[in-house]
Amino acid sequence: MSLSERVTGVLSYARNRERWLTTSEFKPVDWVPVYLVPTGALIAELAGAGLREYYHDVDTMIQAQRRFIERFHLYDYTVDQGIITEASAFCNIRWPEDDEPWVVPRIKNPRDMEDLEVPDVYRDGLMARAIEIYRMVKRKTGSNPAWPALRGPFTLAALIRGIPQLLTDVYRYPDLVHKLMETCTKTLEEWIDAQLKVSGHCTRNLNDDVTGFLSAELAEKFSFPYIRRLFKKLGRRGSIYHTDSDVMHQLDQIATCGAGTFGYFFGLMPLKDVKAKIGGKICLMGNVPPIEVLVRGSPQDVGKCVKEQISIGARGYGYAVSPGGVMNRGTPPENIYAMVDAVVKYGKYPECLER
Amino acid sequence: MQREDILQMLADSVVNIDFEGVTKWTDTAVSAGIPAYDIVMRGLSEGMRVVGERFERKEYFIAELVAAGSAMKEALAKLKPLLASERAPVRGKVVIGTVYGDLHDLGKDTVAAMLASAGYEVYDLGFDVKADKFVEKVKEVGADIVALSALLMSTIGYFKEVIDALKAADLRERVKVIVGGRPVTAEFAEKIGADGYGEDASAAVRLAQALLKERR
Repeated sequence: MSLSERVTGVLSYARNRERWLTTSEFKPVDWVPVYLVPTGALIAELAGAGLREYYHDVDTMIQAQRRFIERFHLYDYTVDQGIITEASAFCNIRWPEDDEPWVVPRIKNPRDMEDLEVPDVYRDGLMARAIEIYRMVKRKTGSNPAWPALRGPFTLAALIRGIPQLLTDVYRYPDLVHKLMETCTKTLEEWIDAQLKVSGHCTRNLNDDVTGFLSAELAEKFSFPYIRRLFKKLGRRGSIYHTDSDVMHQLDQIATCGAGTFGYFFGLMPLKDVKAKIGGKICLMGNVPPIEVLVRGSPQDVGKCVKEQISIGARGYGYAVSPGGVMNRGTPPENIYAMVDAVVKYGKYPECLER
Repeated sequence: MQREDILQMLADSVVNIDFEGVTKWTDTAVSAGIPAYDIVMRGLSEGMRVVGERFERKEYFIAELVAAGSAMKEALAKLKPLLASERAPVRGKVVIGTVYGDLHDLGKDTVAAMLASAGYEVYDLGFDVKADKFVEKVKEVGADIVALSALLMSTIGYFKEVIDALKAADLRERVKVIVGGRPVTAEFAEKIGADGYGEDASAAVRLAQALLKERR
């Protein structure tokens, strides 16, 4: 299939996005949608750009994203700063030579969870920088770029406190953890408000790997009340709750967290099991293995996997093909094409239900 | 109270993630004259074994593994001087670390403490350790054993990179490599060219002893 056929055909960006929004409400669509989730590292790699340059030089970022959009189409300009946009307002940022930026956990003494203040999202850390990048990308490309995905409040708290420390704190200092969760949630709320004020739109993706480390009971105490608060603000339509953790024990909570779509990857959470448990309650997005299949597999492997996922997910609508989690550095372009082509080939309703 | 009962209470406190209980029963065990080695192996480690079983049965999750591990680490820190005083004559030098990309150090800490207690001179590189750091330390101290730990499926593959780095530095012939961690198996250890695999801390100590005996 030629690029022009992909771009102008059944999988044009706008039609594909509309299909996803429609199917996420379990309404009929003519085709299964596909959702590409490239990392900045992959976008930079495919453009031959260094990752540091990609994150530090907005022109490099724009050029790399333009190349990705021209090649694969199903993507839009995005203010990309890795995963630490909000956490950077609390912590020191570490810029590796050839990897995404990271933060050094700030809170050493559990008592400090109590006094942590909500940062000024217009001035502190990478949120302030994201606003400027948004304006520059908009000016230079004429587009209305997407904002970076939000961290889930518990994941943000884990970045600020340290993952093992926070997981221990829920047992030792539950009241202090709630204080930190309140600060994190308020920060995310203010960040959403800032995005709306600056651009008239905001991200509706919430990425939350660390909540999956909790039992359902602890997650209900320390994470989901705050997640529900955020999705109430973001709205259901077009919103995504994403995790890469094993959350089979939290599926009921995820289905009712207020998000319209659940995007996930965990190899031991097969789509058929997730669909059986919460299909019909929340749109599912996944679950093409990002490393085993998309990086290491052949285009034939990718096509076979997509076909199988569609045969499981498409029934009853409420399903979009997606790499589980993100598309990592090292993903061959031909495998991305293979994923899109397989959706075109196997994703047409009602034929896809007959396979 | 019988020694066995004290150790059982300690193990139960670990299982129940009762930080105060772990402190209390560790102190009680020390006061009762129970050797630190036994407190670790039959109290703390026994508790962690049950925690691991519950994790496998999905009754416990990562938070419980980590929190129980934190409780055990606090007790280990308290017992460290006692373990040192119980130490046998130096048997060999071990460089130990959790490999690059992995931040889990409880298993590694336990093995390090047990090896130290069993008479090994232990050089603990911490967690998230790159291959060149292992090579550097092996050269610096003239280690007999390199012990590699990881908790994640996604990071155990790095064991092979450390082994390859040791080969590239012409050190592989003079140093034994042992590996461990929840997803590690004996088959995996063999496949990547390690000299052995320890399923828990005491197995790691036995393995170290056997490998060095074999070498002598």
